[in-house]
Amino acid sequence: MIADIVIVIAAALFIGVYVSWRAGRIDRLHARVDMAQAALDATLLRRSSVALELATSGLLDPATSLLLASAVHGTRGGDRPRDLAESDLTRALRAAFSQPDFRASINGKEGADELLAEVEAAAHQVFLARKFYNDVVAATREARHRPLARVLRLSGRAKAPEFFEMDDSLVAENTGAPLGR
Amino acid sequence: MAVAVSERLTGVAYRLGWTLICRVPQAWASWVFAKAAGIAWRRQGPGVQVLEANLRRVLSWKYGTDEVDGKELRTLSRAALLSYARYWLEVFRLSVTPTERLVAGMRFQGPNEATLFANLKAGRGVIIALPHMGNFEQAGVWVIARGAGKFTTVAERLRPESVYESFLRFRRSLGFEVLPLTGGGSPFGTLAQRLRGGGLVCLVSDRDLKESGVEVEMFGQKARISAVAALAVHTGAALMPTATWFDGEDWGARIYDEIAVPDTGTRAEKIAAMSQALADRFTEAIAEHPQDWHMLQRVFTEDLDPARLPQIQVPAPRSAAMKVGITCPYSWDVPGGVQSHIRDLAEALLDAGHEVSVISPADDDTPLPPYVTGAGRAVPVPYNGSVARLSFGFLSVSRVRRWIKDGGFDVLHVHEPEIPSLSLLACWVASGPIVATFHTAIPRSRVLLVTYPVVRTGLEKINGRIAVSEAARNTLVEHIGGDAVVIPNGVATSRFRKAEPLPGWPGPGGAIGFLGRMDEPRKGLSVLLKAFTTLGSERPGLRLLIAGRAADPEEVLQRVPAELRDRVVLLGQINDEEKVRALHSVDVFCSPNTGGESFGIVTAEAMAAGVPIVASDIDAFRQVLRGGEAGELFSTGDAGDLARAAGRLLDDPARRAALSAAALVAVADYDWSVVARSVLSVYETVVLGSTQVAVTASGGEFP
Repeated sequence: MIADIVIVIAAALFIGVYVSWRAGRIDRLHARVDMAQAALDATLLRRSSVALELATSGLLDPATSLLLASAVHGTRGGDRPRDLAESDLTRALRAAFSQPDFRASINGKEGADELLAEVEAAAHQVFLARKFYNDVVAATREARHRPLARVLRLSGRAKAPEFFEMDDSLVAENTGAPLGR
Repeated sequence: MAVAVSERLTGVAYRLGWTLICRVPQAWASWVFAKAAGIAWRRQGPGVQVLEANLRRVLSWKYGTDEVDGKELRTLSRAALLSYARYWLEVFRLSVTPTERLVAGMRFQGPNEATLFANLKAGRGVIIALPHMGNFEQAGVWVIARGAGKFTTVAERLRPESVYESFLRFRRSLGFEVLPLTGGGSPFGTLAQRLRGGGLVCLVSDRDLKESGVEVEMFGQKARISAVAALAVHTGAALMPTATWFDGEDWGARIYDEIAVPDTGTRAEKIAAMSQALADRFTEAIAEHPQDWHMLQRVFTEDLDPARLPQIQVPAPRSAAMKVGITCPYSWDVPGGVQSHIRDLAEALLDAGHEVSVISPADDDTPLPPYVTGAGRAVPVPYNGSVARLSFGFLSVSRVRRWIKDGGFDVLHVHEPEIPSLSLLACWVASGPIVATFHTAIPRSRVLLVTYPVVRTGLEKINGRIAVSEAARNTLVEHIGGDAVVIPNGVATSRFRKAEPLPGWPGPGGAIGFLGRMDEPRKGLSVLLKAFTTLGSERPGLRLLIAGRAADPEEVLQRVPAELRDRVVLLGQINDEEKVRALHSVDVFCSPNTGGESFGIVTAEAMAAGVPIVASDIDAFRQVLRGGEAGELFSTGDAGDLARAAGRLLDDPARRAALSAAALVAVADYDWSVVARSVLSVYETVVLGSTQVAVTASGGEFP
C-alpha cells in the first residue's frame, strides 16, 4: 500500500518535474526569440541608418541617393509590411552597388571606403541576425508543437513566433557578383 | 474682275483641251505636241532660255570645260523640249492609258526596287526624291500598281484654281494623296506623320528657292534643292533618290541606294551631308539622260536675279524654331502614360518644325524612334512600393551629360524630376532654362520630407513647372512649394481616327461602350450597368462592351440580371491599339463618371474616334462636349436619365452622325498640336534672357 503510494508520488513528481522542465524550455525558447528579434531589429535599424547616411553623403549621384533614401523611408513604419519594405531596401542597395564601375566612381573620395564597408557590414549582419532569429523561431515552433505542450498548453498565452522572411541576399541574382565587388 | 474672267477662260480652255487630247488618236496628239515643242524651241522664249542655261551647265560639267558647243546645246534643248511635250501629253492622256501599259512599259535599272517594297512591307517609311525628269506621274501609277497602294506627294498651287482642282481630283483618283504646298499650312507635319506610319512619300525635289531649301553643289555649281533630307532625319524613313526618263516608247527608272543618316554631326550637318549626296545622285542621273531633265526654271544660284540673292543666301532663321531636349525617366520599351505623353509631345513639336531630342532608358536592342537617344538599360528597382524600371548611377550621369553637351538645346524639358532617374540627373548636371512636367499626384508627403534634401538642388534649378492635372499641381504646391501651370495631356487625335472594329462588333442590335477602371466607383460603371438593365430588356440584341481593369470581373457581371449577362462583354485591360478598335466597335460611347475627372481623356479619345457620346453632366464633360453640342449629357448618377439618353441616340442614326461630326470638330481643341503650343509658350517664357542649356562646370553640387 505504502509502496503503491510512494510509486504514485514518485511518478507524479517525475511527471511534474518533466513537465515543468519542458515548460521552462519553451519559456527559455520564447525568451531567446525575443532576444533574437531585438538583435534582428537592431541590425535592420543599423542597416537603414547607414544606408541613409550613404544616401545623404554626397558620394552618389542624386538618382541613386533618392532611390536609397526612399527605400529607407519605406522601412520606417510606412503602410508597407516590414518584410517587404526591408526587402525593397536590400534590392535598392543591391541595385546601387552592382552598377558597373561603382567602386571606381567613388574611390578616393573622403570617407567613401569606410562608409561602403560599414553598409556592407550592416547588410551582412542583417543576414546573420535573420538566420539566427529564424533558427530559434523554428526550434520554438517545434517545441510548441509537441503533443504534450499542446495538451497542457505549456506555452501559456505567449503567441507563436513568426518567421521573418525577406530578401537579404548579398549576391546580385543576375550577375552572380557579391554585393559591391 | 478682269483677272477672274481671264482665269475662268483659261480654266475652260484647259479642260476643253484636256478632253480633246484624250479623245483624238494618240498619234495626232503626239504630232500636235511635237509641233508645239518645235515652235517653242525656235522662238526661244524665256523658258527655253532658262532650259538652255541649265543644260549648258550639264554639258560643261560633262566635258569638264566652260566652252560648250552651241550646236550640241541647241540639239539637246530641242530634245529636252520634245521630252517635256511628251511628259505633258502623257499626263493629259494618263486617264485613257491602260494601267497595264504603264506598268508593263517600265524598264527598271538596278536592284533597289525590291529594297523599296521590303522597307514598306517592314513598316518603314520611304521618301522617293526625284528630279524633274521623264514622266514621274507614270512612275507614280507604277508604284501604286506594284503594291505601294498609295503615296503622298506635294503639289504647288496653280492658277487658275479650277485647273489646279481638276489636276488634284485626277491625281487623287489615281491613288495619290496630294498636299497643297501653299495655302494649306505646312505639309511637313503631314508628310512626317505619313512616314512615321510607314507610308511612301514621293517628292520632286531638285529645286527649292525658298528659305526652306538647302544649298548644295550640282554640276559643280551652287544650287538649292528641297530639304527632303530633313524628313528622313526627323522620321527615320529611308531616303531613296530616284530618276525617271523616257526609254523609246517606254519609260526607264532607277532607284539609287538609300542615303543613310550619318552617325555623327549636328542635325544641320546631317541634313547638309545627305542633301549633297542627293544632289550628287541627281547630277549623275541628269548627266545620263540630260534631254529628259525638263527644267525650265532657274535652279543655279548664279542664274538667279541678284536682287533676290541676299534674302536667299541668308535664310531668315525661323525665330520660333527651338531646340528642345526632353528627358524620360522610365524605360522606353515599357508602355506607360509618361512615355506616351513624351512621344506625342515630341512628335507634335517635331511636326511644328522644332528640333527635339529625347533621352530615355531603353534596352540596347529596342528599336527607337530617330529622335530618341537610349541611355542604356533601365534597372528594375523597388520604388514607392512597386518595382519601376529606372536609370541611375554614374554611367547614366555621364550619358546625360554628354547628351546635353552635344545637344546644344535652347531648353531642357524634364519629366517627373522627383523620380530617381534620368530627369533628376539632367537637372543635376544642367544649367540654363529648364522646364519640368509633373505627372503624378503623390499622396504621402513624408516620402518627400525624407527625400527632399536629396532632390532639392535639382528642383531648385527648374525655371518653369507644368502639372498635367490639378491634383499633380496641388501635390507640388503643398509639398515642394511654388506653383505650376496646368497643361493637361493632349489627345493624339490622328491615332484614333481610323480602326477596324473588333470582329462581330457593333452587331445588328447595337452596342454601347465603356472604358475605364471597373472597380473605381467614381468612373460610374454601376450607373451604366443599371441603365443597361433597363435598356437591355427593352432591346433584344443590344450589347455592352466594357474595357478596363477590374479586381474581380465576375462581381461586375453579378450586377446585371442573369438573362442579360451574355450580352455584357468584358475585355479586361487592353493596349492602345485594341483601345482604338474597341472605340470603333460601338454605336454609342458612355462616360458615366460621377466626379473626380479633371479633363476626361477617355471621353476625348472617344470623340477623336468619332463615336457618338453620352456623358454625365459633370463640369469636365460639359466643357469637353461644349455644353452638349458635341455629345449627349445626362444628369450625373441618374441611371434612368442615362437609359433615356442612350435610347434616343440608338434610335436616331442621323443624330448620331451629327454628334460624331461635332465631336470630331470639338476634340481638335485637345489635339497634341494645340497642347504643344501651350508647352511652347512655357519654353518661350523661360528662355527669355537666358543662355543655352549647358553642363555645369562641377557637374552639380550635391546634396
